[in-house]
Amino acid sequence: MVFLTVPLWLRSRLTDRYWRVQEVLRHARHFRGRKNRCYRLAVRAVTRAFVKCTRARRLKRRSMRTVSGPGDERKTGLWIRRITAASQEHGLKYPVFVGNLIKCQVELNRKVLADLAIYEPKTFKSLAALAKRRRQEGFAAALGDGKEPEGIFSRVVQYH
Amino acid sequence: MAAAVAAWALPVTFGRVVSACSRSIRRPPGPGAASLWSAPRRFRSQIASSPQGYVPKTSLSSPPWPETVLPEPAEETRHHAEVVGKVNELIATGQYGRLFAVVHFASHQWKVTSEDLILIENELDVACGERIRLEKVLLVGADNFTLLGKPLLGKDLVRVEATVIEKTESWPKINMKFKKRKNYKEEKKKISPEPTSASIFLYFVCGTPPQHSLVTGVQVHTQDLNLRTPGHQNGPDKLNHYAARLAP
Repeated sequence: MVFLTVPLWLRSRLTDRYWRVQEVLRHARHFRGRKNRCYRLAVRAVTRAFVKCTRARRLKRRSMRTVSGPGDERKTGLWIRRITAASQEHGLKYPVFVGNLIKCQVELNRKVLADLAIYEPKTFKSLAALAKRRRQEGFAAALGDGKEPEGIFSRVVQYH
Repeated sequence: MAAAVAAWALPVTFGRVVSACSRSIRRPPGPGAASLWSAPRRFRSQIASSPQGYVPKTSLSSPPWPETVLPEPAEETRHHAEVVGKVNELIATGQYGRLFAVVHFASHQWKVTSEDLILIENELDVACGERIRLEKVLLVGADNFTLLGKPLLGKDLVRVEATVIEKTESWPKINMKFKKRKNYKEEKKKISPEPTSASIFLYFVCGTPPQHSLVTGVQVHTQDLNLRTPGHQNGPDKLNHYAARLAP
């Protein structure tokens, strides 16, 4: 025979419901409307907020460099727009500038180039001059007939 | 007759454009261009003689891009040597103010000066208060000159050191996955270790002047070498004692 009176009498009841609800509501306090007060609505809003936050953390890094949108023909992020503006001040276009810098084995990324363009104008000017000169040497090598000595700034340094 | 003349005019102008192209970069035309000229040359003897290489200016006589003249190599090497000498002198005598550097560390590139703080997103196996040397230096600059690495600068040229201040944990980042109408919801709180490193110290290692042709960064700045004004590109000149901080 099994006596079930005692286990049925000792029910396990939830004692910290208040704190479980508060855990969700505290993330919703700055929302608009009833979502910041009512648990049932807040749960949905908080879940969506967390999902958007997770996605945005990965897109933030991407958006600094490329921005995809219906209106943009060319996908440009903040860094690229800043570098374009700065190189236009020196009479160069962005693809010319970046392409020639890479050909000179200068491996600065766009974040640092944008920072240099803002805070170190003299250094940026010298980088633009370097890109311009490398471009002219590239043209000389392509349009000339191959008998001229190769340009000084087109030399490639080999590391072991 | 007019049609025949027009038929000849085309190869003549084409040959002239090709020769003008190669001439615009200040180099003499090679053997490739000669074969295009030889046919029209035979017909040109009947035309009134004009000075060799003279092309009357038309819309097709020169290429549409501007003509660029590269400087003479000998003169350029002299100019480069002069500029490199000036920079070496500045470095050796310590006449630079605040230095900045671009450093590659923890898979990021940082633009760094002295007394700068950097927050790194992972854990380094270093105790608090220890000194680290950041070795991958891509660029070093002062007010009047910049040294660019191809892609890195030598370790015997600049020293960039950092002290680890504190090792903290990041705020609990929430990773939430949700699929609607499928009863699927998953939440993870990610707390990652974040050590903070502090006062970056930058100085030149005295003795070795730059060996490679890193002259490029200096070309533009040499005009400023004569003006030793106190302001520099980072901001108001704070302290000059960093210039004296050379390796023992």
